[in-house]
Parts: sequence; structure tokens; C-alpha cells
Amino acid sequence: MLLCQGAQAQKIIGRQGQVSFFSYTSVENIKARNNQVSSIIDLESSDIAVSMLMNAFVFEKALMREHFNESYIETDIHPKASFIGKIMDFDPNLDAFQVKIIKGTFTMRGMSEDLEIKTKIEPQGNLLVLSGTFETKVEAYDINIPPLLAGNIAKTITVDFIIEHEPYVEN
Amino acid sequence: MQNLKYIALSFTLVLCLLSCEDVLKKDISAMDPTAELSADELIVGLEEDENFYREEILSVTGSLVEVNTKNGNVNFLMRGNTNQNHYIICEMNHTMTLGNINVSQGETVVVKGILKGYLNDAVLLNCVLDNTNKHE
Repeated sequence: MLLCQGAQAQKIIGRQGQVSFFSYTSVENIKARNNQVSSIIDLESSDIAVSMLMNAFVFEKALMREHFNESYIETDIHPKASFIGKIMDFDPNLDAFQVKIIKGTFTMRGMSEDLEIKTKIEPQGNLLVLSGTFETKVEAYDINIPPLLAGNIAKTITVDFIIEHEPYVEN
Repeated sequence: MQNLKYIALSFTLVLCLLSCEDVLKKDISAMDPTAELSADELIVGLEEDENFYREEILSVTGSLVEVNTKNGNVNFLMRGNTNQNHYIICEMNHTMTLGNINVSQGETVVVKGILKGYLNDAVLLNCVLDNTNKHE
């Protein structure tokens, strides 16, 4: 199993995690997907650090991406978002799936929010797969939405994630 | 006069369609890259400046380490000779399938894509194999 590979596997890395978000309103549904999310877990301390490039979200419509990057997130000023946390009561040696709470701080646009995310942790051969869903409020990130478009964007955004981790081997 | 109106309307519509085309989905094969770099040059550039060629079309040469289909897309993972811990992750254009790839692991490849930035690795989206660029 992944976690039995000695000292080299003390850290595991996810290079191509997927984070999707959904905004549902009666006016418009907005979906976007980022397939290149990075994550590192220290198996000894259960610390986890996730980062993503905010300009790497792909939308159904180009105009949605433009608004997201230029008006709402301002990705030229705030290119990255991060989550720093700890997997609570995590047993890295358990060879079966476990559901754990990850407590941590999500930071985007320079604003931080403490989150507790219920996460499924599943060993798959050489991989450890983390997946889950959580909700976050737009108002926590000081995003300036023009009144005319306020009805198009949900106040609460649903976020899905799935990240496959493999042993981090330093060359 | 009526014809002129139609022409003006059509012209406006075409302009709108062109401007609305998503650069993350359209075929960039025929577009000139802003720069041609080796994988090592790209990693060094990004480590010095995270805005290095950000959002620009780059042609990058590197050794193909892995081809995968994570998250429903074909992805190329490349690296250079000196920065072995950092990859160039290229999410290929959505039209690419494993069946139409004629390169193999270990081969030196040239990939053109839009540079989005740098995490542990450099990330390029909407990539194509750049057959026109033969630089090493």
C-alpha cells in the first residue's frame, strides 16, 4: 500500500486534483472546473496544503470566465487560492476508506475563512484519493458583484473536489 | 440601404462571435507563441517571477514523463534536465484523445499552450503538440 513505502512516502502529492464549483440561481447556473489543483499531505502530522491557480478554471462560456477572472476574483492581483489544514483523527495506515473532518483555513482574494470539510479518504492501490463537497459563502471573500448581476450569482457556492495523491519522491 | 444594414449587422455578429470565442477551448495550433522555451527555462523563469509569461501562449520543449487522462482530459507531464522535481503539466485541447497521440514516454516533445502559472509545477491549458517548432 501507498503508505507503507518507508520514509520516502512520508509526504504524498496530488498534482492534478479537480475542484469544481457551482452557483445555482433561478436566473442562471454557473459551473466551472479546475483540473490542475496541487496538494501535499504530510502523513506523519496529517497536515494538508492545497493550492490552485484561480485563472485555471474552465467555464461553459468565455464571458463567464472573463467576469470571474477580471471582475470578481481579479486573478491578476490574486492569482492563487490556498487551503491549509489538518485531517482530524486520520489513520494513514488504515487500508480501507475513512471519512474524516479536515479543519483549516481557505484563503482567496486575501480573505480567509475557517472551514471544516467532511472528506472521504480512500486508498486505491498506490494512490490516496481525497474527495468531498462543501459550501462557502460569496460574502466571505469581499467579492464586488454589481447589483444588476446580483441575481445571477448564488450567495452560497457549492464546491466539489477530488484529489489523487501519490508518494512524493524527491529527485 | 437595406443591404448595408444587413452587412453591418452580419459584421457585428461575426465580431461578437470572434470576441466571445473561448481561448481555453479553441484550437491554437495556428497561433504564434509569445516565446519558445525549454522546460528548464520555464521553471527557472517561474521560480524567479510567478507572472513570467502568465496567460501567454508558449511553446515548451521537454522530456515526456507521463501521459494520463485524469479529469477527462489528455494530459502531458514533461520535465527538463535539471529541474527533476517540477513538471510542466499540459492539459491538452479537449479534441485530443489517447488514440491520436503519436509520441511516447521519454521522447522529447514540443507542446504549445496557454501558461496559467506555477504551483509545484508549471500549468499550461488548451495545449497542442507543436509540430512546427523543432528547437531543443
